[in-house]
Amino acid sequence: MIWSYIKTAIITTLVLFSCQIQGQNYDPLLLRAQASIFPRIILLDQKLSEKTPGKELIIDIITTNQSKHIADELKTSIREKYNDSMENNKLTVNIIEIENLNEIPVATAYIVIEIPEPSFKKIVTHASNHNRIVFSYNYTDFKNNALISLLVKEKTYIYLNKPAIKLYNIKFLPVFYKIIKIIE
Amino acid sequence: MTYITKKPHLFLLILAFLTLSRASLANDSDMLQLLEEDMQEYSRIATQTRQNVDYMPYIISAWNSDDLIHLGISTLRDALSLVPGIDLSIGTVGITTPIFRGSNPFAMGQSKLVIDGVVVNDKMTGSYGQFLDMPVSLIQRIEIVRGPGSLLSYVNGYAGSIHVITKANRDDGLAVNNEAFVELGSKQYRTGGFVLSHQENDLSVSSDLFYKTHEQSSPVSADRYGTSGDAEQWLDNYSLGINADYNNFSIKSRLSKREAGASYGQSFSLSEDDSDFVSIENNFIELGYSYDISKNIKLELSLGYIELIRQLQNKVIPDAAMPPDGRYFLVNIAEETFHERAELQITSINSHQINLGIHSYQSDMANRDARFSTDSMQTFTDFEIINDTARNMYSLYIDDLIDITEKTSIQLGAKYDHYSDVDNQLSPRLALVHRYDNENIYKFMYTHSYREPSWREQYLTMPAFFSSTADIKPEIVDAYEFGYIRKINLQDHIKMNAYYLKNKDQIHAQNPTHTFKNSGNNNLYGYEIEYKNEFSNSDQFYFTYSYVHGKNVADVLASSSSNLVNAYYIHNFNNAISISTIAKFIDEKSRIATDMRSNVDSYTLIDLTINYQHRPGDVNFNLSVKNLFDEDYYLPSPETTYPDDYKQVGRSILFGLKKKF
Repeated sequence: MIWSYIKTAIITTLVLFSCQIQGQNYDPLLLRAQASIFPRIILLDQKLSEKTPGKELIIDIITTNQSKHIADELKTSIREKYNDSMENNKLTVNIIEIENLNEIPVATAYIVIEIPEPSFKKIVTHASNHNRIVFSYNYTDFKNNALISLLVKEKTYIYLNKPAIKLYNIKFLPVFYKIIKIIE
Repeated sequence: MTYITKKPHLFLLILAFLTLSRASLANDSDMLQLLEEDMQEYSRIATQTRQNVDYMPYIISAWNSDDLIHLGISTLRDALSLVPGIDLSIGTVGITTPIFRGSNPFAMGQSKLVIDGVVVNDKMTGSYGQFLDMPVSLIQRIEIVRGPGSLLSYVNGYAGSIHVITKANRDDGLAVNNEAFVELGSKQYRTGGFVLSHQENDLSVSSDLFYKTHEQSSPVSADRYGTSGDAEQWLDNYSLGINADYNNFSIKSRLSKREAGASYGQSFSLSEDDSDFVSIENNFIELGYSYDISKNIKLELSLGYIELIRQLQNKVIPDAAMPPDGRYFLVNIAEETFHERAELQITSINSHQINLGIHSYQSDMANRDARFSTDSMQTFTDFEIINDTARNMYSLYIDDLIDITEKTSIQLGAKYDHYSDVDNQLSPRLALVHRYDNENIYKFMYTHSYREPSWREQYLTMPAFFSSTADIKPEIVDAYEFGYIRKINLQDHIKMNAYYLKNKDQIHAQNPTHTFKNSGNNNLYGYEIEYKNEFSNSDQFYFTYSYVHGKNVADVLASSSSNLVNAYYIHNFNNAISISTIAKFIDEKSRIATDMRSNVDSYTLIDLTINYQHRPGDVNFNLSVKNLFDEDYYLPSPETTYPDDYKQVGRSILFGLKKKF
């Protein structure tokens, strides 16, 4: 008898907890995959040369103070993988904490990690106005109009946010469309 | 030719255009290839390290050592107690045995322990208890399969299998870190060890070492002769692993020795001799070779040798029960196993991942000496403890993971094992996973498996508390499992799975003659719920509930709890300091029908840990209080042995320090 009460309590607890989801998580393998794959995707932008003034490819990682350790890990992984240069461009990776951001700098591309929705939308507006890619660490940020994300499931999937494609007006090399999964 | 002569500029222009176009296409193709290679590499790592297991046709629990250390988990044994569906029991001489989903707790070797791909269960008792004190600080990852089958095609688990990947053999594509650790605690508990690695060109060498000692004992109110006292469980334990990789070649080796007090004794009586001990050495070496026959076909070869030496000195009958000097029992046995494996991993057929292999081993006793003494070890009666132990096994296996659609995969597998001394076995497996979307995953599995009898159950020649049956048959299980995973976000989840296990020809000695024999069929069913959520960067909650119902021995669910609850909560004060608590509830346990004792009481254990991580210095400090409320709790003893069961240790304190270099 007592166990039926305990089971009821457990199920109730589960339901209550599942309503309070805010998670700011960190998947080391996903981060390593993104550090490796996101910069390669930038190279597939047909107008990349216009976005690398002075042959400098700049990736701005935008995050919160709380998630800065994730951004640090991502930056380290990118630098370890590409050693500060990509395809004859100097590679610069900056970390910007949203709490300290007054004016969004123009970069070649942005990687956004777990920031609040209003700030995310500002980044997207700025990036899309300059035809810059916004990658998101979490694919669920497609609802905030991030353009590209990545998920490691039984295979590794690159997700392209179809509703946001027109917004960014970025043309990728045709080969790119062969390997991505377009999310409607 | 004429046209070219007449329009040389136009020709050059076309030529330049074609050349540039081809160069551009080649460049595009190169970039695409690099991108695809990266995607394949991370898919491979995710599959190998089980990080994508939610989307694959298995039901497993996987733990990283950093997470465990954060919770104050110190040993492999402690880590297993967090896994849904696993309870711990005690066998002869105090050896711990994990019980999976209540499955026959009186059998020997129902689960397997695989360390860096090598099965380390001994053939004599099917045990791997000597490895359960392995420090989590040496372990990269622990993967636990509940139910039959295994993550490795050549390993047949019965009730479950535990896969340990050591840091020295990490397989996630990252370099091995150099680390050292020490732990100090109650009962003169002391542990120290390190992981070291060195790489030069194509040669990489890694090593780990630990040494552990303590002076633990457990109070006993009465043994089977009515004697009270302490079960001596002092421990001296070390293990040294050495590994090397050079191009396609690899060596894995481990030397381990565990020497301990005779605890609850070989024959369920307290010893009158403080010098009594049980010592188990387990040494293995495995040579490996891998070769990419083509981009999509890989060959793996391995050749290994395992040696197990078991020594025992135990006064099994006290003076009063067998005047004038009682009786000593001494054992010095050694078993040897050679094993060989060849496997092809084929991905050249579209949507198929095929593993095809042959595996064999040859096991026998190199030494089988035992002796009795009834005059305080002045003179001895020598004999061989066991006979006819040679066991050769040849196995052919294949499994194919087929992506039927992007959302649905099916795994088909079969393993045929030919034995020299027990019935041949065919073990088919079917698993289906449907990824409805990124958040909702459904799984169904059917697995048929078996457990070959241990030598102790089959070949013992001497009179003992439990005797053997030579023509014993393997235990058989058919398992049906259904799983559902709800991904809350990238890290958090609710996992639910229900299972039905049809067990046949169960082996145990819970009968009037105390003889290991096939004792009928028993079915078990139940479910497990696992829930993990981080509410913010500051708080993390984990909860599991396991329920099992049915019969495991003689029409009852004996020595197993129907309800297990585990939970932990971590609160991070900041990036450096955290506090965590683990709570475990184990419900009461029934007895076999002829055992008139009341059920073993339920109990709740609470652990508390404070963790400090100094990130710039890569140093971690840990202070844990285990069994915070000093709960008295007991694990079940067999009928007619210890009437008041096995009392477990009370509150203890553990301090740990770990440093990466």
